[in-house]
Amino acid sequence: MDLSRPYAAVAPTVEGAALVALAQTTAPITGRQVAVRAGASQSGVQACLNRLVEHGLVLREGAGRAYLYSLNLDHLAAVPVLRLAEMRNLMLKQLRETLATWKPRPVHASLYGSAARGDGGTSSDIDLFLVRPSGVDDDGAWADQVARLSEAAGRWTGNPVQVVQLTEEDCADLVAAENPLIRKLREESIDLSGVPARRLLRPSRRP
Amino acid sequence: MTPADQTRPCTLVDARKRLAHARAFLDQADLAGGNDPEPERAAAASSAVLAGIAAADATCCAVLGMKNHLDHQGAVSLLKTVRGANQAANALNRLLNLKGQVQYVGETSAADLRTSQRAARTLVTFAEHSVGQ
Repeated sequence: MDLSRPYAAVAPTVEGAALVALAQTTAPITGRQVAVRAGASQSGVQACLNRLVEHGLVLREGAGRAYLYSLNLDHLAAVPVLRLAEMRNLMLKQLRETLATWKPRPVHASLYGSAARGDGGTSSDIDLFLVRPSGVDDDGAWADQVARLSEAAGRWTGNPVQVVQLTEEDCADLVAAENPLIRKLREESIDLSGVPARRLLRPSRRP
Repeated sequence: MTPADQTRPCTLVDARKRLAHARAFLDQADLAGGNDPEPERAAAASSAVLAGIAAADATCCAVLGMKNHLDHQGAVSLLKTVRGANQAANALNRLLNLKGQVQYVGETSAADLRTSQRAARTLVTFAEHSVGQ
């Protein structure tokens, strides 16, 4: 899927972008605001809103000289629209639920890179960072669950999955060395399991 | 709705920048614990407040394309217009209620610090999910 517009796998046109913009807010907004949030032209969005109002999926109300638009939550199509708007969160939820079943559990697991930033495309990697507990080999049961998660995440999204895994000791060494990967993880990773990145990767306090 | 003159347009780039600020402030907020001296608790709780405000900005910029720039209650109201943000908006409200006590009254209890850290984490987590959605 397009990591910057996950809904585009199902609704690639301006309708998809406009509906997701409306799904993300509880406040009625102007057509111009929909266009800004959808990243589309105002004329294109206006035509699309007119059509969606005609179908009853979008509500229009007058506000002075302008019109305000909102998603009609009672419409039969509202639930799938809300789900489309939540696709990235659904990916995070499924990753977390899968990691919660792991034995042995990771010390830490997070998503980073374009999937975390939300700025990738259809061929961008899903980058996962895993820290393995001390005394757990990187083969056997651990390797099996890493492989299963990679395969599953690839199926959920259609994107290739890249896993970087470290032992607790190697991770501590990289933190002490202020490795660029650690800095990147501090800036953009989203926690999925275990010790939060901001605690695990915290720089040592200066004396 | 939040009055238009209390908001400023902002972009996904701004959202990412504010999220980076929020995470950095949260790191500072987590440096103190309940057993640390009161000044350190106050500094950490202040950082938690800043983390929460920055995270709310990040969410609003990413989802609404605008952020509040005047009063703090306006920021809570604007955040509430993001679907699913009720818990985050309540966390922001808690942080803003603590702000005056922490920064001006000068008595930050261990419970205040825990509350502020928890609220800031709620807001940063929500912002992480919102930015790039």
